[in-house]
Amino acid sequence: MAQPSKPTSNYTIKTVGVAHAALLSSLQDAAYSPQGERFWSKTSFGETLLSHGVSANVVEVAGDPVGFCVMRQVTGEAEILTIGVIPASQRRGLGKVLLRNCINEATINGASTLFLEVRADNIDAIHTYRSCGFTESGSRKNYYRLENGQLIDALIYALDVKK
Amino acid sequence: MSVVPVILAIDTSQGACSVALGRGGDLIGSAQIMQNKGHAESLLPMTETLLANEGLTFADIDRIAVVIGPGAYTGVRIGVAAARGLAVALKIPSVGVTGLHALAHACADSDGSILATVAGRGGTLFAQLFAGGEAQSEPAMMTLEAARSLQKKSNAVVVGSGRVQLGIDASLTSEHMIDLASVAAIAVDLVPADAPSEPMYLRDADAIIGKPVFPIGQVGDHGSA
Repeated sequence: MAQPSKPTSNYTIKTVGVAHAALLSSLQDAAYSPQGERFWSKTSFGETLLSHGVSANVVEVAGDPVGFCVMRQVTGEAEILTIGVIPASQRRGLGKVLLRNCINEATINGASTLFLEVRADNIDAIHTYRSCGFTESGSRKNYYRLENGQLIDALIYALDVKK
Repeated sequence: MSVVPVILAIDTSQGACSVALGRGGDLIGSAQIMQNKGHAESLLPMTETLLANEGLTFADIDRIAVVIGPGAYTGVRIGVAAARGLAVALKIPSVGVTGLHALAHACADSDGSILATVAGRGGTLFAQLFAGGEAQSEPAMMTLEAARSLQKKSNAVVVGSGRVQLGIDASLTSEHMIDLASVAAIAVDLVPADAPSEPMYLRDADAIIGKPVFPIGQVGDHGSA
């Protein structure tokens, strides 16, 4: 397991589009597969990025993309569709950097609430969301099906992002 | 004992919102968001994160360095306003560095002339000639033709975002963006009175200045003449 290390404070966040579907898929594979979670194909990312109100960012450290976040906003509701950091770059505050950028974008774009879903057993992620002010607002029973068929609940977290 | 000052460097003059912390000219952390809007909202949270990552607080900053232009009006004003506001609140100096100087500083070791450029609107760019990090001309807005002829006359290497307009590069690469390490390094030696953090636009506003709605300066003696 990765040890907690010094936060990385040399990063660049870039907005990406459908041309980066393959990159997003490979980053998600790297971030999710170790937890037994399924990742989206390049095609899935491509279709998502072309749908209404969707935007995506990657975070780079020393020019290398190491994390990603895709969000969707329809009227006043914004939602984080997927977010992750590759294992080698975890525990350095980059998830929080991506999350704060999402919150900022949602606010700028006039959203009132930002939602996200998280695996009920993903303690690290839940800790990060709570530290950014998200509060639990619901759950979905057996929402996630892992590669091995196991079912896990999703928790819904929400944050007021009104200006 | 000489203490290396902690410098907060800010650049919002072009398409990115960038902040960095330096001990003198050595960066200890940097953050950049490449987006065309949201700079005002991003700047302070990014700075807070950078400081927290280094175990520092705003009170540890000794000096603020801000890129004062040339570039986007709104971007320049956001950076300058943030720098000046922080400087007043923290009771520390803030100094202004031009983006052209920072670009030239990054290649101060190279032999020969450097034409530092920043992309402008409508077939223009901002340019200034340097050699060994020292300015050889005043910064100015000019046409692409004028920039090309200046480059030819001085046999200069072109750096900065104007390279794309001049057809040298197809798109802007990271080595031609303003490096906050250069901004911090320049800022260490600047005297605040000689390098105020005031915008350097190098062009007039597109908007026409209207008549004041309220009669400024007519009552009492507060208005500036």
